[in-house]
Amino acid sequence: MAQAIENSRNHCAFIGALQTVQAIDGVAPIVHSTAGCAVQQYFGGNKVSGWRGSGYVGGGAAPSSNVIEKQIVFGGSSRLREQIKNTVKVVKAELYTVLPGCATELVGDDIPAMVKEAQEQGFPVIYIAAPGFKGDIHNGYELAVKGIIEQLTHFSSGTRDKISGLVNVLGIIPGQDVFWQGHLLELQSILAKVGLAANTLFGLGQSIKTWQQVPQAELNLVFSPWGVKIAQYLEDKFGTPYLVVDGLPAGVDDTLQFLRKLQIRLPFADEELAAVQRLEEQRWAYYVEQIADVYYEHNLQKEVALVGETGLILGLAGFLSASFGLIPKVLVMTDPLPESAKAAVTAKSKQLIADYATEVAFEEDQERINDIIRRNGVELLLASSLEQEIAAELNIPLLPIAFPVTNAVILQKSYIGFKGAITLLEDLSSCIVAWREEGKDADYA
Amino acid sequence: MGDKKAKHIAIYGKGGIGKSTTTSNISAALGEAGYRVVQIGCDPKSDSTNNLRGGRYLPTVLDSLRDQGKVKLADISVTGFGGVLCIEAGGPVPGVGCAGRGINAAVDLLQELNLFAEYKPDYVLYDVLGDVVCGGFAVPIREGITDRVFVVSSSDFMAIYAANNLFKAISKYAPSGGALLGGIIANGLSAPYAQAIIDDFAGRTGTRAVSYVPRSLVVSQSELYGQTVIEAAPQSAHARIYRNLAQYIAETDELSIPKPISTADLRAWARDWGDRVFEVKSATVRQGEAI
Repeated sequence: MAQAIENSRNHCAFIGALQTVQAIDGVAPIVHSTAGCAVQQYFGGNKVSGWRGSGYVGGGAAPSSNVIEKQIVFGGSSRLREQIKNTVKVVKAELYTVLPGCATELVGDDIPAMVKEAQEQGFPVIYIAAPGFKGDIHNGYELAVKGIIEQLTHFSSGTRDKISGLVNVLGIIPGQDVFWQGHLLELQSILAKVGLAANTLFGLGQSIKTWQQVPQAELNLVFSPWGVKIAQYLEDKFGTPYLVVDGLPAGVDDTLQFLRKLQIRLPFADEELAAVQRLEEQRWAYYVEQIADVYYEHNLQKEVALVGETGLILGLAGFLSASFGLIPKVLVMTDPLPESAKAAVTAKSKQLIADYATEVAFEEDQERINDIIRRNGVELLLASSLEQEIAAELNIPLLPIAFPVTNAVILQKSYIGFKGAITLLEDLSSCIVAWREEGKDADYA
Repeated sequence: MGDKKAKHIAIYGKGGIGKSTTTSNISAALGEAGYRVVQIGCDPKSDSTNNLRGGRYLPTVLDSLRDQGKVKLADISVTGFGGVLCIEAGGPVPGVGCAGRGINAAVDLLQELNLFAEYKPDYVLYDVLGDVVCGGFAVPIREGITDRVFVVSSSDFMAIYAANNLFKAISKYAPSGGALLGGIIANGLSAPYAQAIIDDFAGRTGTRAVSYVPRSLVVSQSELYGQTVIEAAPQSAHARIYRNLAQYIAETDELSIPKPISTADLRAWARDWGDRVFEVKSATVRQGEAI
């Protein structure tokens, strides 16, 4: 049944593919579409994802064929050929990715032929068919990741032998998860503690070389429903097994539990895990002691609503209720999960926060999200900047954790893992304290 | 649109059924009768007006869009037999681009050029590509372009099937101000039961046949000379048929919203006619045996 969606936060497949490509160092997009598509990604994606910058070939610098009616009527293949030629001349990259928009895919431009032509001339150019109408941002991520891995094999004759201790990290979507960079760095650091090397694929320290090593990983780690298809592909193609983690692990308990699950699949010494546990429990105890005063003085134990993508919401809800005493009354998953996956996510949510009556909803529409929050009478919101309005209406503090985020600049912050959970305590507490100091809490004078 | 007095008429029908021939003859007959007529070919093949202009070269509207120069009406039109202003929308080469959008863009450009206000035609005929395969080819029957449609069909099932599809498009757009159906032009009729099939289909879809054009050598001959029948064989019976049809189209305001038949029902209807035709044929054989 068709329903109107106000303030959609899931964009289109093209935007998903474009921002996925832009998050890889050394990869340049070549957009084959009308002039608005790449710009729309910048203003509707990057800029409202914690002020993510445009970088070398993002934002207004994204190469684009900017087709007009002439190319729609008569076909735009030759315009694309010209655009590929010009781009490889002026944009330095190790891989060029042609990303068609809706119009050129509808018209049926022979994009594979243009890409093949460029390849025959020795240019590393690939094609990812993720026009907007193929789905939303999550589908764009899936198509882009799978497409790059699949087509990179054209340019690398390297070995497929497995590298001991190498794991790929899948399911964290650059930009759509506003903390993607921080999450990846934190996961990398956690895995390094038990002697594993994480291929995080995006952002700092990653490159085409790490992508070329994807088939050589011993295991694929999937942190959201949006990495499963890619992991299945990698299993079929390269025989790499995968482990789906229900939610991004946050805090000592959940992160240790994640490591124990991982240990079953990819054995490492018990002593290593024990050492990590000792250190991290010590760290946690230390900071909990530090935060205890403000916790009681400012009444941090609140009934909270979390609104955002499934992977992060599951992780944060579990941590905040089990380790920090918050009461999750509402969980709203805004990514459009297939019906078949919803029951499992609901069950997992109930299991994470077994002691409370929590409303679990799968909703993308602003008004219905607001209604859910309103009828549950929560005291704190962990959500996106789109929830500022309902936060103001209910006079409750809001901590931004989900796309879009317009009122915070995010570089390497993360709320998951060992260190991220501490950062979450800092930000969450600061948010409530600031709100009270501003005189917004009637109980606080 | 500029001139409200002009009648804008779209002619549709299955590919190869004789739309261009019929349209050109209607245009020629109207031109001959002293009306100002524009015929616009809305088919990427751009061969609608061939027989009106005796094969004279005519750049298409979309050629000018491709070349991006400043376009004047004189560059994309030529006056043919009977003073008919001939225009071809044109389109991409087969297999690339989007011909449907091309039709849309060409019609837009003609409106920008103020064709109808400047030329002040009495009749504008749009000869449109056979099957309404996508939204682009339905542009001429949407609001504000034409107000009436005639469909050319033979008694062959596939031609009737295409006509029925067109009825679906008309009945979809009519409530929002789209064109209405003027009727069916039955073309290329040869079998004795052909007229009955067309009449039966027309009756079931709430429309009617406005002309019956039998198959004839004079039409093919005229075409070989690159002319309309009106020009090549003005005294022929076919010239009279086309003149009567043109007069009917010029004068009538009897328009309706057709009631298309579902695909399954159309199939059943065709099977029923198959049985009836078989009976007719077998009866002929029995008579022969009796001699």
